[in-house]
Amino acid sequence: MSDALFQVKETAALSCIVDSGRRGMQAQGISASGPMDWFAYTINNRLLEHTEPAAQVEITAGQFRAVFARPLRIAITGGKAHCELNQQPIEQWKAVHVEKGDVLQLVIQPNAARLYLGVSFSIDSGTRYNSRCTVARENAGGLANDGKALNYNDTVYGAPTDVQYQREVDESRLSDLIRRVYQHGPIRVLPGEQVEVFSRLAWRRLLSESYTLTAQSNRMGLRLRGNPVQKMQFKMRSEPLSFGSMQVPPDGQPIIMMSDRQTLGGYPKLAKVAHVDLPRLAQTSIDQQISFSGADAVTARNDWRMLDLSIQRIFYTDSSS
Amino acid sequence: MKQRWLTQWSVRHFLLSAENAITIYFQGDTLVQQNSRVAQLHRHILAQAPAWLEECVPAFDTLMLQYDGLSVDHYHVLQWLDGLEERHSESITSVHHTIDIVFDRADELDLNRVCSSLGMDRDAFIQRYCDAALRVYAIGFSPGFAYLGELPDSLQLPRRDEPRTVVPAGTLAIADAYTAIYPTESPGGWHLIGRYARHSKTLLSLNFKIGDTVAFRDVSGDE
Repeated sequence: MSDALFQVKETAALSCIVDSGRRGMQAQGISASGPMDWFAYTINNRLLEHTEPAAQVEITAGQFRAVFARPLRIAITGGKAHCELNQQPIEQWKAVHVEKGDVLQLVIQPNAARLYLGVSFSIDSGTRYNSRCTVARENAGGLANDGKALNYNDTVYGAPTDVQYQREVDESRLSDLIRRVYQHGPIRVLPGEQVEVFSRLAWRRLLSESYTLTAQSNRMGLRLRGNPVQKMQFKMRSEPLSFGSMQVPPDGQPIIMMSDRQTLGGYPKLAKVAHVDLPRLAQTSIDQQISFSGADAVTARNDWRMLDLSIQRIFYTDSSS
Repeated sequence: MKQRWLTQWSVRHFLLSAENAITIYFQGDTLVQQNSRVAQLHRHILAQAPAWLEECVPAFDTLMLQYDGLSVDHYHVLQWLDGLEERHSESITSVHHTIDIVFDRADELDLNRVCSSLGMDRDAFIQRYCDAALRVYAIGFSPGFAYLGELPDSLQLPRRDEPRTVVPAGTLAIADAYTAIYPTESPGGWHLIGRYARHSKTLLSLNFKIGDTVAFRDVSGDE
């Protein structure tokens, strides 16, 4: 049984249904997809106590509005936004109860990029490769399973989940963690596979210059513009790409591969964004400046584990601890 | 840690690609040899499918392993690789595909330009192209997009300076040492020389696998 959950009235620049992504499909050339900001997506699921990674609406840049068609619990996570329910401000990063007919209005701030709208129901939309991710160029996912983003007047349906109880969330710990994840400062990068192909100067330049996020950026990749890290024709065989890999085409302007990246890439990779800094990178808006600092894979993995432990502690402490 | 697996699987070296991924680079005298080794280890790993393995992505001379970085680290993965037993009994089943192509001189395609850049007439080009014994080296870029190669030197052109924003599904294209049929509509920087003679939806059912062999057959006159 599927119930109408909400009807979309304004779509922002892009509103599309995503979940945790496809798994084990890249060998067939199928994009991994998944949320751009994994932290905001994960916390959203935890706030609504989904036991499986649930489908959410990823809302990019601009203004989103929807009218709810039934009572629900919802959560809004991600970059800074003005969030209103029936023209009364509501908090982000918090489960909120809504009634039928309630109007949700979200205005993403200019220095933020995307929001995640989660609901307590399990969103019912097109499934491809075991995932509800919307990937336009693969014509996969979305309400009609054709890769289309949400449109004006689209109604999103869903089914109840079996969550029975509502746990307390340690809100001060959570807001502290959010501050840490999105704090200002350079984005940490690990050396990429082809770092040695570049001159030493290229790596130093990447870490000392600042780069602007261009409007050619999308869910596939973030295209940066600035002082070229190194102009170079380098012939190599295409090889697999990780989330956050920085490819440098001959013009020297870096491209950071994101959720909907193609599976193989033929440009040399100078760097790879640390997993813990991907959420912050994903919240960079068009024309914002980005700077980088160096890290190594072992330290970066430790940071990731610490962050994961912090998330576990917020959502899985019992009252005695 | 001794790294027996490096010699066992003819690995040149490996790199940490991410906090939760390593990329393995293979040795070999030829690309065919390297690519066969990629396919061999790939198959082997998939047969074991440890729970921590998230992705195992083969390409020309590389194999990337992405693992659950919160459960295991790369030392664990390397140790696991070191303990992999090679089983010679596994026979490698590769399939030969013969694929019908309509070579097209239509203005929106590049066949005429390709022929003049290569300095040969259309018939000579098609003859040499269809004589080429091709191999599937990688599936990637987009779902089911198979990199077939290697083209003889006389048929090689670098990719176009200006990629097209739309290449229709079923279009046959060449770039550098490779040729491919676009399985779905997508942007593309290759030179378009013809089209798959059947409906593009039947392409995915060919189910190309690394190591499969491919030859093209000209059916341009049969329409």
